[in-house]
Amino acid sequence: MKKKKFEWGYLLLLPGLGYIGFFVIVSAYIMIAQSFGLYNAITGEVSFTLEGWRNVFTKSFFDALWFTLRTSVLSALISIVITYPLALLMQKTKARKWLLPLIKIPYFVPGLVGSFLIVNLIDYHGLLNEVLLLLKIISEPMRLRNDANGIAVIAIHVWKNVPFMMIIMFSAIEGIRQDVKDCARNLGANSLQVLLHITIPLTVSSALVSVILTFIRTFNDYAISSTAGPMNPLSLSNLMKTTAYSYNDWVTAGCIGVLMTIVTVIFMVLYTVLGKYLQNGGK
Amino acid sequence: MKKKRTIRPRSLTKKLVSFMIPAGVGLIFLAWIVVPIGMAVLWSLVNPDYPWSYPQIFPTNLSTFHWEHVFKYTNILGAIKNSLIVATITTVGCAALALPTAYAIGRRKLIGGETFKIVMLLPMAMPGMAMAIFLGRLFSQWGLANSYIGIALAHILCTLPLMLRILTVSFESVPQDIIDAAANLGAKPWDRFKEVYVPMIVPGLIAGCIFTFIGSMEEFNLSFIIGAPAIQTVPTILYSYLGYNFLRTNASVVTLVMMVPNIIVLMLTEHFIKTEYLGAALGKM
Repeated sequence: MKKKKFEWGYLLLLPGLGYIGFFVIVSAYIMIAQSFGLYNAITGEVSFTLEGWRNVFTKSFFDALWFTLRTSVLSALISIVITYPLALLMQKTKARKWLLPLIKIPYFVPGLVGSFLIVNLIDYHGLLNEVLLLLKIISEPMRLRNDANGIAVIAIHVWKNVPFMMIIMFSAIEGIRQDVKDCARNLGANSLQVLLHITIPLTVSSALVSVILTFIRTFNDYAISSTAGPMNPLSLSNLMKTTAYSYNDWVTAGCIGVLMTIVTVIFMVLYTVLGKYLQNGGK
Repeated sequence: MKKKRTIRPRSLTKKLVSFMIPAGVGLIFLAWIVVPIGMAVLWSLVNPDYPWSYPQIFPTNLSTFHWEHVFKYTNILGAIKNSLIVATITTVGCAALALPTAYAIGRRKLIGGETFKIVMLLPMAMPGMAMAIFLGRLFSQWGLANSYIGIALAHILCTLPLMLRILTVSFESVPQDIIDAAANLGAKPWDRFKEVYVPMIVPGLIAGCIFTFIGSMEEFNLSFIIGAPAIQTVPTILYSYLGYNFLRTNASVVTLVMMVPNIIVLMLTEHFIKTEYLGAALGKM
């Protein structure tokens, strides 16, 4: 009887995990095979080649890698620096009942919408430049959109990711039981000590988890960096898409895809390991 | 918790702090939410005969010209229809696929249950554009490119992880003693399912469906690669306005059109669902 029950359960895994497994394995297979020239969707002719792997490491690839890494690391760090204190302050205010739904709006609107809203503000004739001009802080408008440093890209990602982090951080901070804090207060800790010795240690792994998730999302982003980012350097996603569709070089595109996936997988592993730690030791 | 009564009158600095915190938080919110959206609203209402430029703080003349223009001469209504069709198929399919699996992982004591929780995150481990490009190749071979089913199949793949996570957490949090009590009182498996599981799972299921629906509505990479040019969704239309031919006024209109359903859904979620599903599903394993 026990055996029968087990078979039941494993069969139920099929619809969800089978679907995921099938499509992820198939698309990963196509990507890897493509990078060695072993897949051809159009003619079906295949031949093994290392050409792609020899060609992929060009200057534009390293530029794209550096640009993507820099924007994603910076936006994840800036986001957490804004979110952490804001979440702590939010928890203290009574207005959080109606502030919390409001702050979620950027998370719920599509990335492209965020891209437009922020570009609109920091454009050459956007609100930011006009206000700074009016206040005589700058003498001519700054070029922030499509700039090589990716300031617009970082700003958009921060705008969109702070609410996402807020959702995770706020539920972590709310999750600390009040009696733990009361206990510390009872033993003579002041509110700063409660913050340093209870709130922060209990939420720091949630902060790391949200930083990693944000990093992954930004690293793999296409829409935002292709609308607000510079033409040179491109982001990695954009470089891969351009290589495939504009230069019709599917082999090299496969190589870029494989390299991007490796980076993402490393950070996903970090995320799961940290999540496990959070579940076992954090609480 | 009962409010504590302070005996000492509060000092001035404390009063100031208790005023400063909400004021500061409120200001940040104003800058974060109200200003960007307000600017988009203003830009969408600019009258083309009275251009808005420096040093005018507000446009001098407002009109609905751009709204009428976008709705009359672009395919936005078709795109909204396409997005809604794809999102509906995606949500139904995603829920149907996720329910049995989440039940198995959440309730059955399977060997390797923890591993399955990691396997379900696999779609998140593949860059969106890489997934779109290489899945798109397969779909065009299978004749699924440029079809609703093709886009929906791809959307199900990228929305399944969150749906599975939320439902697994929901199933796990059903207390065993209630199920046992129901069984003890003579409930048959079907009754137990109907009377115990369903009421406790439905809020999670609704939350999961909402996130799936929104996720599908705003998904760009897969819709763009698999659907374009035959099927335009709202994000792909907006993308065309943000590219080489940047039209600020038209983009404002499309942006606002895209935001409305999401904000309505968000407010409904806040109103009907009390638990924080997203934080619970992604914050820990």
